[in-house]
Amino acid sequence: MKFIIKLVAVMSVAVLSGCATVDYVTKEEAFPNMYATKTTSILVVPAVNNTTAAEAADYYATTISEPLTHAGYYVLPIELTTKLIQEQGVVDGAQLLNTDPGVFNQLYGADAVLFVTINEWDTSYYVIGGNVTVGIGYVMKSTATGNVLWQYNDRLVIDTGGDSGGGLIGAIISTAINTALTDYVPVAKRVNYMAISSLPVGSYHKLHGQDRQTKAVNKDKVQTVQE
Amino acid sequence: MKKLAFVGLLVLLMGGCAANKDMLYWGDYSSTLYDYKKEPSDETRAAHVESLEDIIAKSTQRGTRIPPGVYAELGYMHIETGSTELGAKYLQLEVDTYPESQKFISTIQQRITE
Repeated sequence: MKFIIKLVAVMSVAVLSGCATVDYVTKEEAFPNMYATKTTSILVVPAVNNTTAAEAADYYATTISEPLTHAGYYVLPIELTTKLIQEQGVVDGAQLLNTDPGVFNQLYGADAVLFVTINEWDTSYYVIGGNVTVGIGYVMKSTATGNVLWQYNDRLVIDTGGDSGGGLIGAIISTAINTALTDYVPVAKRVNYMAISSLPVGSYHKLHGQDRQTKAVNKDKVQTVQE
Repeated sequence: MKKLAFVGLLVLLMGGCAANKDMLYWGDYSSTLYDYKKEPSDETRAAHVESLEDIIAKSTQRGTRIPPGVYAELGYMHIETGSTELGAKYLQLEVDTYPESQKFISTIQQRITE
Protein backbone atom coordinates (compact mmCIF):
# COMPACT_ATOMS: atom_id res chain seq x y z
CA MET A 1 0.00 0.00 0.00
CA LYS A 2 2.74 2.38 1.02
CA PHE A 3 4.55 1.53 -2.13
CA ILE A 4 1.53 2.36 -4.24
CA ILE A 5 1.11 5.72 -2.53
CA LYS A 6 4.74 6.46 -3.14
CA LEU A 7 4.44 5.39 -6.73
CA VAL A 8 1.39 7.58 -7.27
CA ALA A 9 3.18 10.48 -5.62
CA VAL A 10 6.24 10.07 -7.80
CA MET A 11 4.10 9.68 -10.88
CA SER A 12 1.99 12.72 -10.17
CA VAL A 13 5.10 14.78 -9.58
CA ALA A 14 6.41 13.55 -12.89
CA VAL A 15 3.14 14.33 -14.62
CA LEU A 16 2.81 17.72 -12.96
CA SER A 17 6.36 18.71 -13.72
CA GLY A 18 5.67 17.65 -17.27
CA CYS A 19 2.90 20.21 -17.46
CA ALA A 20 4.61 22.99 -15.58
CA THR A 21 8.30 22.89 -14.96
CA VAL A 22 8.07 26.26 -13.25
CA ASP A 23 7.36 26.33 -9.56
CA TYR A 24 4.75 29.03 -9.02
CA VAL A 25 3.75 30.12 -5.54
CA THR A 26 1.16 32.61 -4.35
CA LYS A 27 1.98 36.26 -3.87
CA GLU A 28 1.23 36.05 -0.17
CA GLU A 29 3.44 33.04 0.30
CA ALA A 30 6.33 34.76 -1.45
CA PHE A 31 5.89 38.30 -0.13
CA PRO A 32 4.00 38.23 3.19
CA ASN A 33 5.60 41.53 4.31
CA MET A 34 3.92 43.34 1.46
CA TYR A 35 0.50 42.45 2.88
CA ALA A 36 1.49 43.31 6.42
CA THR A 37 2.66 46.84 5.61
CA LYS A 38 0.73 49.73 4.15
CA THR A 39 2.62 50.72 1.04
CA THR A 40 1.24 53.53 -1.08
CA SER A 41 4.24 55.48 -2.31
CA ILE A 42 7.43 54.12 -3.79
CA LEU A 43 10.73 55.90 -4.32
CA VAL A 44 12.80 54.39 -7.12
CA VAL A 45 16.44 55.24 -6.51
CA PRO A 46 19.02 55.33 -9.33
CA ALA A 47 19.81 51.83 -10.53
CA VAL A 48 22.95 49.95 -9.64
CA ASN A 49 24.64 49.31 -12.94
CA ASN A 50 26.64 46.09 -13.12
CA THR A 51 27.09 46.26 -16.87
CA THR A 52 29.62 47.99 -19.11
CA ALA A 53 26.90 50.14 -20.71
CA ALA A 54 27.42 53.46 -18.94
CA GLU A 55 24.07 54.92 -19.98
CA ALA A 56 21.99 51.87 -18.97
CA ALA A 57 20.80 53.25 -15.60
CA ASP A 58 19.76 56.56 -17.09
CA TYR A 59 17.79 54.97 -19.93
CA TYR A 60 16.33 52.34 -17.65
CA ALA A 61 14.86 55.10 -15.50
CA THR A 62 12.44 55.96 -18.32
CA THR A 63 10.79 52.54 -18.08
CA ILE A 64 10.01 51.82 -14.43
CA SER A 65 7.34 54.33 -13.29
CA GLU A 66 4.74 53.19 -15.78
CA PRO A 67 4.41 49.52 -14.75
CA LEU A 68 4.54 50.35 -11.03
CA THR A 69 1.68 52.82 -11.39
CA HIS A 70 -0.32 50.29 -13.40
CA ALA A 71 0.19 47.95 -10.46
CA GLY A 72 -1.56 50.49 -8.25
CA TYR A 73 1.27 52.40 -6.59
CA TYR A 74 2.16 56.05 -6.30
CA VAL A 75 5.66 56.44 -7.70
CA LEU A 76 7.47 59.61 -6.71
CA PRO A 77 8.36 61.62 -9.84
CA ILE A 78 11.50 59.77 -10.82
CA GLU A 79 13.06 62.55 -12.87
CA LEU A 80 12.85 64.89 -9.89
CA THR A 81 13.87 62.44 -7.18
CA THR A 82 16.86 61.35 -9.29
CA LYS A 83 17.98 64.97 -9.69
CA LEU A 84 17.78 65.55 -5.95
CA ILE A 85 19.65 62.34 -5.18
CA GLN A 86 22.36 63.19 -7.70
CA GLU A 87 22.74 66.65 -6.21
CA GLN A 88 23.52 64.94 -2.94
CA GLY A 89 26.54 63.39 -4.60
CA VAL A 90 25.15 60.01 -5.54
CA VAL A 91 26.14 58.98 -9.05
CA ASP A 92 25.44 55.26 -8.83
CA GLY A 93 22.69 53.50 -6.92
CA ALA A 94 25.32 51.25 -5.33
CA GLN A 95 26.14 54.13 -2.98
CA LEU A 96 22.64 53.91 -1.51
CA LEU A 97 22.46 50.18 -0.87
CA ASN A 98 23.59 50.48 2.74
CA THR A 99 21.53 53.54 3.54
CA ASP A 100 18.99 53.09 6.30
CA PRO A 101 15.65 52.87 4.40
CA GLY A 102 14.07 55.15 7.03
CA VAL A 103 16.04 58.06 5.55
CA PHE A 104 13.96 57.82 2.37
CA ASN A 105 10.83 58.38 4.40
CA GLN A 106 12.26 61.38 6.21
CA LEU A 107 13.44 63.06 3.03
CA TYR A 108 10.86 61.95 0.46
CA GLY A 109 7.88 60.69 2.43
CA ALA A 110 8.14 57.32 0.67
CA ASP A 111 6.60 54.19 2.20
CA ALA A 112 8.98 51.96 0.28
CA VAL A 113 12.20 52.25 -1.65
CA LEU A 114 12.95 50.22 -4.75
CA PHE A 115 16.53 49.26 -5.53
CA VAL A 116 17.06 48.11 -9.09
CA THR A 117 20.18 46.34 -10.26
CA ILE A 118 20.94 46.08 -13.95
CA ASN A 119 22.81 42.83 -14.37
CA GLU A 120 22.67 42.43 -18.13
CA TRP A 121 22.30 45.02 -20.88
CA ASP A 122 24.05 43.30 -23.73
CA THR A 123 24.05 42.75 -27.43
CA SER A 124 25.59 39.62 -28.90
CA TYR A 125 26.23 38.80 -32.49
CA TYR A 126 26.81 35.41 -33.97
CA VAL A 127 27.36 34.47 -37.56
CA ILE A 128 23.81 34.70 -38.82
CA GLY A 129 22.02 36.10 -35.82
CA GLY A 130 22.18 38.22 -32.75
CA ASN A 131 20.32 39.00 -29.59
CA VAL A 132 19.68 41.63 -26.98
CA THR A 133 19.65 40.60 -23.33
CA VAL A 134 18.35 42.60 -20.40
CA GLY A 135 18.53 41.18 -16.88
CA ILE A 136 17.23 43.07 -13.87
CA GLY A 137 17.16 42.47 -10.12
CA TYR A 138 14.60 44.22 -7.90
CA VAL A 139 14.55 44.69 -4.14
CA MET A 140 11.83 46.73 -2.46
CA LYS A 141 12.24 47.66 1.19
CA SER A 142 9.85 49.21 3.66
CA THR A 143 11.04 52.59 4.92
CA ALA A 144 9.14 51.96 8.16
CA THR A 145 10.65 48.62 9.14
CA GLY A 146 13.56 48.17 6.74
CA ASN A 147 12.13 44.76 5.83
CA VAL A 148 12.26 43.42 2.31
CA LEU A 149 8.76 43.68 0.84
CA TRP A 150 9.40 42.27 -2.60
CA GLN A 151 12.38 40.86 -4.43
CA TYR A 152 12.63 39.45 -7.90
CA ASN A 153 15.01 38.70 -10.72
CA ASP A 154 14.07 38.56 -14.35
CA ARG A 155 15.72 38.57 -17.74
CA LEU A 156 14.76 38.41 -21.35
CA VAL A 157 16.70 37.53 -24.46
CA ILE A 158 15.29 38.88 -27.70
CA ASP A 159 16.56 37.23 -30.81
CA THR A 160 17.27 39.81 -33.46
CA GLY A 161 18.40 37.39 -36.11
CA GLY A 162 16.11 37.28 -39.08
CA ASP A 163 15.90 35.40 -42.34
CA SER A 164 15.82 38.06 -44.98
CA GLY A 165 15.90 35.55 -47.80
CA GLY A 166 19.13 37.09 -49.02
CA GLY A 167 21.40 34.19 -48.16
CA LEU A 168 24.18 34.35 -45.63
CA ILE A 169 25.34 37.86 -46.46
CA GLY A 170 21.78 39.12 -46.45
CA ALA A 171 21.20 37.47 -43.11
CA ILE A 172 24.29 39.05 -41.59
CA ILE A 173 23.28 42.49 -42.80
CA SER A 174 19.70 42.13 -41.63
CA THR A 175 20.88 40.94 -38.22
CA ALA A 176 23.09 43.99 -37.83
CA ILE A 177 20.21 46.24 -38.78
CA ASN A 178 17.69 44.46 -36.56
CA THR A 179 20.03 44.53 -33.60
CA ALA A 180 20.64 48.22 -34.02
CA LEU A 181 16.93 48.84 -34.17
CA THR A 182 16.06 46.59 -31.29
CA ASP A 183 16.76 49.01 -28.53
CA TYR A 184 17.32 47.89 -24.99
CA VAL A 185 14.48 50.01 -23.69
CA PRO A 186 11.58 47.96 -25.12
CA VAL A 187 13.26 44.82 -23.78
CA ALA A 188 13.70 46.42 -20.36
CA LYS A 189 10.01 47.36 -20.39
CA ARG A 190 9.00 43.77 -20.96
CA VAL A 191 11.32 42.57 -18.19
CA ASN A 192 9.66 45.10 -15.85
CA TYR A 193 6.18 43.90 -16.73
CA MET A 194 7.16 40.25 -16.29
CA ALA A 195 8.69 40.91 -12.89
CA ILE A 196 6.02 43.31 -11.63
CA SER A 197 3.28 40.77 -12.39
CA SER A 198 4.59 39.00 -9.27
CA LEU A 199 4.22 42.12 -7.11
CA PRO A 200 1.11 42.35 -4.89
CA VAL A 201 -0.95 45.21 -6.34
CA GLY A 202 -1.16 48.54 -4.51
CA SER A 203 -4.02 50.56 -3.10
CA TYR A 204 -4.85 52.31 -6.38
CA HIS A 205 -5.54 48.97 -8.04
CA LYS A 206 -9.06 47.59 -7.93
CA LEU A 207 -7.77 44.18 -6.85
CA HIS A 208 -5.84 45.60 -3.92
CA GLY A 209 -5.70 43.07 -1.09
CA GLN A 210 -7.45 40.45 -3.19
CA ASP A 211 -4.46 38.94 -4.94
CA ARG A 212 -2.99 37.04 -2.01
CA GLN A 213 -3.79 33.67 -3.54
CA THR A 214 -2.70 34.60 -7.05
CA LYS A 215 -0.07 32.13 -8.14
CA ALA A 216 2.08 34.52 -10.10
CA VAL A 217 5.43 34.16 -8.41
CA ASN A 218 8.10 32.02 -9.98
CA LYS A 219 9.96 30.79 -6.93
CA ASP A 220 13.26 30.55 -8.78
CA LYS A 221 13.12 34.23 -9.59
CA VAL A 222 12.64 35.43 -6.04
CA GLN A 223 16.15 36.58 -5.47
CA THR A 224 17.87 36.27 -2.18
CA VAL A 225 19.28 39.48 -0.87
CA GLN A 226 22.78 39.50 0.46
CA GLU A 227 22.84 41.58 3.55
CA MET B 1 -26.78 47.15 -43.14
CA LYS B 2 -24.72 50.30 -42.94
CA LYS B 3 -26.53 51.29 -39.79
CA LEU B 4 -25.81 47.93 -38.23
CA ALA B 5 -22.14 48.22 -39.05
CA PHE B 6 -22.10 51.68 -37.52
CA VAL B 7 -23.73 50.45 -34.32
CA GLY B 8 -21.31 47.55 -34.23
CA LEU B 9 -18.39 49.94 -34.59
CA LEU B 10 -19.79 52.19 -31.90
CA VAL B 11 -20.17 49.27 -29.49
CA LEU B 12 -16.62 48.20 -30.27
CA LEU B 13 -15.29 51.69 -29.65
CA MET B 14 -17.24 52.10 -26.44
CA GLY B 15 -16.14 48.68 -25.30
CA GLY B 16 -12.59 49.82 -25.88
CA CYS B 17 -13.16 52.86 -23.70
CA ALA B 18 -14.86 50.91 -20.95
CA ALA B 19 -12.10 48.33 -20.83
CA ASN B 20 -9.53 51.08 -20.42
CA LYS B 21 -11.41 52.92 -17.73
CA ASP B 22 -9.05 51.73 -15.02
CA MET B 23 -5.99 51.91 -17.17
CA LEU B 24 -3.75 54.92 -16.73
CA TYR B 25 -2.83 56.72 -19.91
CA TRP B 26 0.91 57.25 -20.26
CA GLY B 27 0.92 58.24 -23.95
CA ASP B 28 4.44 58.59 -25.37
CA TYR B 29 5.99 59.37 -21.99
CA SER B 30 8.73 56.79 -22.03
CA SER B 31 9.81 57.35 -25.62
CA THR B 32 9.90 61.17 -25.51
CA LEU B 33 11.79 61.06 -22.21
CA TYR B 34 14.22 58.57 -23.69
CA ASP B 35 14.80 60.80 -26.73
CA TYR B 36 15.34 63.81 -24.48
CA LYS B 37 17.88 61.93 -22.39
CA LYS B 38 19.65 60.51 -25.39
CA GLU B 39 19.91 63.81 -27.23
CA PRO B 40 19.06 66.74 -24.99
CA SER B 41 17.97 69.63 -27.22
CA ASP B 42 15.23 72.24 -27.42
CA GLU B 43 13.31 69.97 -29.80
CA THR B 44 13.47 66.80 -27.71
CA ARG B 45 12.64 68.84 -24.60
CA ALA B 46 9.62 70.44 -26.25
CA ALA B 47 8.48 67.01 -27.44
CA HIS B 48 8.59 65.68 -23.89
CA VAL B 49 6.69 68.67 -22.51
CA GLU B 50 4.12 68.07 -25.24
CA SER B 51 3.82 64.43 -24.31
CA LEU B 52 3.24 65.34 -20.63
CA GLU B 53 0.55 67.81 -21.68
CA ASP B 54 -1.02 65.18 -23.91
CA ILE B 55 -1.16 62.73 -20.99
CA ILE B 56 -3.04 65.29 -18.88
CA ALA B 57 -5.45 66.18 -21.70
CA LYS B 58 -6.22 62.59 -22.73
CA SER B 59 -6.54 61.34 -19.14
CA THR B 60 -8.99 64.14 -18.38
CA GLN B 61 -10.92 63.27 -21.51
CA ARG B 62 -11.06 59.60 -20.57
CA GLY B 63 -11.85 60.25 -16.95
CA THR B 64 -8.80 58.38 -15.68
CA ARG B 65 -6.38 59.60 -13.03
CA ILE B 66 -3.45 61.68 -14.19
CA PRO B 67 -0.59 59.20 -13.72
CA PRO B 68 1.62 59.77 -10.66
CA GLY B 69 4.42 62.26 -11.19
CA VAL B 70 3.18 63.73 -14.47
CA TYR B 71 1.96 67.03 -12.99
CA ALA B 72 5.15 67.31 -10.94
CA GLU B 73 7.46 66.63 -13.84
CA LEU B 74 5.67 69.10 -16.10
CA GLY B 75 5.69 71.68 -13.32
CA TYR B 76 9.41 71.27 -12.80
CA MET B 77 10.13 71.60 -16.52
CA HIS B 78 8.19 74.87 -16.60
CA ILE B 79 10.10 76.15 -13.59
CA GLU B 80 13.41 75.27 -15.25
CA THR B 81 12.52 77.55 -18.14
CA GLY B 82 11.39 80.39 -15.91
CA SER B 83 7.61 79.87 -15.89
CA THR B 84 7.65 79.71 -12.11
CA GLU B 85 4.01 80.48 -11.56
CA LEU B 86 2.69 77.91 -14.01
CA GLY B 87 5.18 75.40 -12.65
CA ALA B 88 4.05 75.98 -9.07
CA LYS B 89 0.46 75.44 -10.15
CA TYR B 90 1.32 72.02 -11.55
CA LEU B 91 3.30 71.06 -8.46
CA GLN B 92 0.26 71.87 -6.37
CA LEU B 93 -1.94 69.76 -8.66
CA GLU B 94 0.35 66.80 -7.96
CA VAL B 95 -0.27 67.20 -4.21
CA ASP B 96 -4.01 67.69 -4.73
CA THR B 97 -4.21 64.51 -6.80
CA TYR B 98 -1.81 62.50 -4.64
CA PRO B 99 -1.62 63.71 -1.03
CA GLU B 100 1.17 61.18 -0.41
CA SER B 101 3.45 63.37 -2.53
CA GLN B 102 3.12 66.29 -0.10
CA LYS B 103 6.45 65.86 1.66
CA PHE B 104 8.49 65.52 -1.48
CA ILE B 105 6.74 68.29 -3.39
CA SER B 106 7.18 70.72 -0.53
CA THR B 107 10.92 70.01 -0.64
CA ILE B 108 10.89 70.96 -4.32
CA GLN B 109 8.77 74.05 -3.61
CA GLN B 110 11.21 75.19 -0.94
CA ARG B 111 14.12 74.88 -3.33
CA ILE B 112 12.37 77.09 -5.84
CA THR B 113 11.59 79.88 -3.41
CA GLU B 114 15.07 79.79 -1.91
